[in-house]
Amino acid sequence: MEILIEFLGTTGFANLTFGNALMIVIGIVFINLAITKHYEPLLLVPIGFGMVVGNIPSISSMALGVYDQGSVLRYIYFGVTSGLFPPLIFLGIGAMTDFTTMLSNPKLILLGAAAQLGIFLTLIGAMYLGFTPGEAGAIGIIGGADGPTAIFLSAKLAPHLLGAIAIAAYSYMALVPVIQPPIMKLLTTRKERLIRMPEPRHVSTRERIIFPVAGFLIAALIAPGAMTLLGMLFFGNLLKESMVTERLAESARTALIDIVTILLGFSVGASTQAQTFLTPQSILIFGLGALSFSVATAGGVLFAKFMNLFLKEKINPLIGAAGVSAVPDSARVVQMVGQEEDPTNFLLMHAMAPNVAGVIGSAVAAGILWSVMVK
Amino acid sequence: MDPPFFSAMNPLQFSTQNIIDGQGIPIAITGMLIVFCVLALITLFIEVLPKLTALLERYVPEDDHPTSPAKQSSSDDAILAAIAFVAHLRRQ
Repeated sequence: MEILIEFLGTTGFANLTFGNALMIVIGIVFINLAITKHYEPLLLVPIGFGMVVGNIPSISSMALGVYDQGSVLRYIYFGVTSGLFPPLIFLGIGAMTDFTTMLSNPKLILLGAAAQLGIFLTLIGAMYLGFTPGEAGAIGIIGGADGPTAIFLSAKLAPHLLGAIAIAAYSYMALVPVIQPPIMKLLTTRKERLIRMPEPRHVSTRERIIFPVAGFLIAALIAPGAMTLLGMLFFGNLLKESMVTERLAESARTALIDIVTILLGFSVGASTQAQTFLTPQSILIFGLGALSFSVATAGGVLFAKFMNLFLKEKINPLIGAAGVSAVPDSARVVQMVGQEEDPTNFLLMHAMAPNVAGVIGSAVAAGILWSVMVK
Repeated sequence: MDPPFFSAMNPLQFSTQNIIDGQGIPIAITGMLIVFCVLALITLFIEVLPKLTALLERYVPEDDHPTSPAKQSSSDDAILAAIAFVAHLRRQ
């Protein structure tokens, strides 16, 4: 009887706090959103279930949770805290990215730069709220709408905020179809939304092979802090474009990225234990993340309008919203909003150019912040 | 005792002095400039890339053939086997 009573004292029911219960509910909401609304299901299902797992109260004498020395979950989470998983995801992204539209219309790359405005304005906002420069840099990168980059930078600059930043980054990536359209419509006229983009030019195989090598050299020589992320991105792309390493490219864009996404999503979810996650800082991080993401979207759209002042062949400013690097979701949103005005206007292909430029831009921004903050 | 619903970490103090102390504005301006520089240089490189490849084409023409050997289909194998069989019969 005594053993039974002792056992009952160690059950999750006996130790569950209100915070744990709340986080479990949030985890279930994530899973539900992924399944019923199809919001980034490949991310939200692992993260949501990880949140449920991570908030089961563990027994103090046993190594069970992400933060317990020697636990299995801690070993998996090591891939996140060490910054190992994000570059591997970038390798897969590189192996599935087609830079052709970007190579055919290079001026659209500048939209990917403009959308990084959200990162740097949020950095200032976070500093105002009292976060340290390192923490502010890690929070600002949420505006890049790039989960792996956000995890990579916060693992380096603010590991104690990693869970909140990762969840905020992936939540806003999942909410791209909800957050972006109102901003895009607010900042553009109907006439602008109806602009048609010219057909892209033919891009030779040689150009597609040269670009990953040259693009990496340009970016990494200026911002060496971005070397790991961009190195893997462009390496993955070279595997794809060289056509002699198809097996490696296939593994990188399928099995490898899938395995890493599962491990990353699940362990990040499991790191959101109420006791460490439910803090005033987390709420501010979510608020700043929303601000960062909105400013990034607005930055891209407004810069496209600014470019139109000087261009003979006008750009559809909706495409600027794809400068945030949520690939390919923000490009899909551009297509959707454009087709609401004109169902025969196909913007998806053109929006992919600032979209992939945004991936490069946010990795460069992360590299800069890392090198500036770590002194 | 239950852990608090909101755990207290470092208390945050809202102030513009934080931005000045942390050099927030210079970091933001420099960061944005560098991002623009990198992507503008990549844009310029892509602009000249077609001319560069055209120049390369003159000296090192792009191979028209696929870089990896084409896979032989099973029908190719059958034809090769038939030819080999006929050649073998003739020799005999």
